[in-house]
Amino acid sequence: MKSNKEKSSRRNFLKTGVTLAGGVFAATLIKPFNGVVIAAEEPKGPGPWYGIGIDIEKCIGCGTCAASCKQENPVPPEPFYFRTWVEQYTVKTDGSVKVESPNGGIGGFKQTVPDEEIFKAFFVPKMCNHCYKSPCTQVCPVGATFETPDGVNLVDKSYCIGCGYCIQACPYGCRYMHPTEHVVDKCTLCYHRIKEGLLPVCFEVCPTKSKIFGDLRDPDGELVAFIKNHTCRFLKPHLNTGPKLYYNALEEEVR
Amino acid sequence: MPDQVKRLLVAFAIFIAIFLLARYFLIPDSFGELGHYRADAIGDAEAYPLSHAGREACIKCHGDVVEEISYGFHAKLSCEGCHGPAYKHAYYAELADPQNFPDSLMLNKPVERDFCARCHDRNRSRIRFASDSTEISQVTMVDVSDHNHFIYEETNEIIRCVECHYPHSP
Repeated sequence: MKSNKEKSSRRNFLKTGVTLAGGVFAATLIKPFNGVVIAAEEPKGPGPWYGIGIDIEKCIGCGTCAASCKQENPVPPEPFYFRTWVEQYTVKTDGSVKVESPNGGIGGFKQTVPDEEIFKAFFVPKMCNHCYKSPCTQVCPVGATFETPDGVNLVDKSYCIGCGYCIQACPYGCRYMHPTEHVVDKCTLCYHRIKEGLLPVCFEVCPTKSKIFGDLRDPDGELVAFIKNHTCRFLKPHLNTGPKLYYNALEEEVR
Repeated sequence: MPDQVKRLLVAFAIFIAIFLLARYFLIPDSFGELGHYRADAIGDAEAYPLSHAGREACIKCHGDVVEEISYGFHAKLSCEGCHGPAYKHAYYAELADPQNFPDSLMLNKPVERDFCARCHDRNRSRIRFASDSTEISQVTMVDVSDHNHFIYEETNEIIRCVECHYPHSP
């Protein structure tokens, strides 16, 4: 009796299993399996879609970008609030990496490691990557931060509740809590300037033109030409944030 | 229908009405037009006032300086990169009498050694090497702490870069 029962339950189990598997298989024939949810796709549509190019080879670390950003935009003067800043990377001969950013680069940099100990050294200007799959806009509980149709990530300051969730979500550290307004503040890509046909201010004042602003949908534009002619990489591409900031000569040490 | 269910239905109806009313007043007008955000916020960002006017504004009054700079190494520099934001300065000059220009709108003329050092101090990070190991740099560099380190006896001040180099045509 016992062995019969076991046989019967095994038969039932196999029957159910085969039916389920067959059913799933049949369902895939009707509608191909597309269970992988893609967070967002590159938006298609008319109008510009702004992106950024930064040539690390050309940056001389003068910090004019960071200084003029604070003058153009309501960024608090304290040395830890920045919408754009510059970092000095020094890779030493022993393999260690020293990263410095005194006051975000405002006022310039000093070489702090003697020449003979340096393997290589360079400056990296940082700013919001204006990602199109940005985690910062996805986590906002009230819809106060968003990507405009032309690809600029903005904060609606009158709607922000100041929870700071997006500050933690941004893997590039490009957001901060405004100390007096108590809402989140970040790079707007100088939205008030680009809509007037001007360059964002950090691009405008860069003495070596190491920052390139442009429309990614314009195949003859300056930015697309820059991306074509240089070996460009994103910061933290493995996070799948869809950044639109293309770095030329980005080293592995940069985080 | 039992009384309890009737009462429950009324309670539900009131609850839903309050919810819809609150929703109507709490959600901003343009919310959801373009996505899960207030579409008018884009206009707010656009309306922010300018501070940097650009070289075209400088040319209006200082055409001679802009021409002078265009022949030298500093030709591609933005005027406002050194002199600071000039929108109010330029706008005032356009509207009012330039003879009575208020001092508060004057732009700075940075002359300190440290200011020039931001770009021209020797720093290994500004140097790349060609295949034959010659140094390549975007800018001319000197060791600012050492280059012509002359101190005036009367004032005990260090000589400024601008006393030998003219910044508009270095």
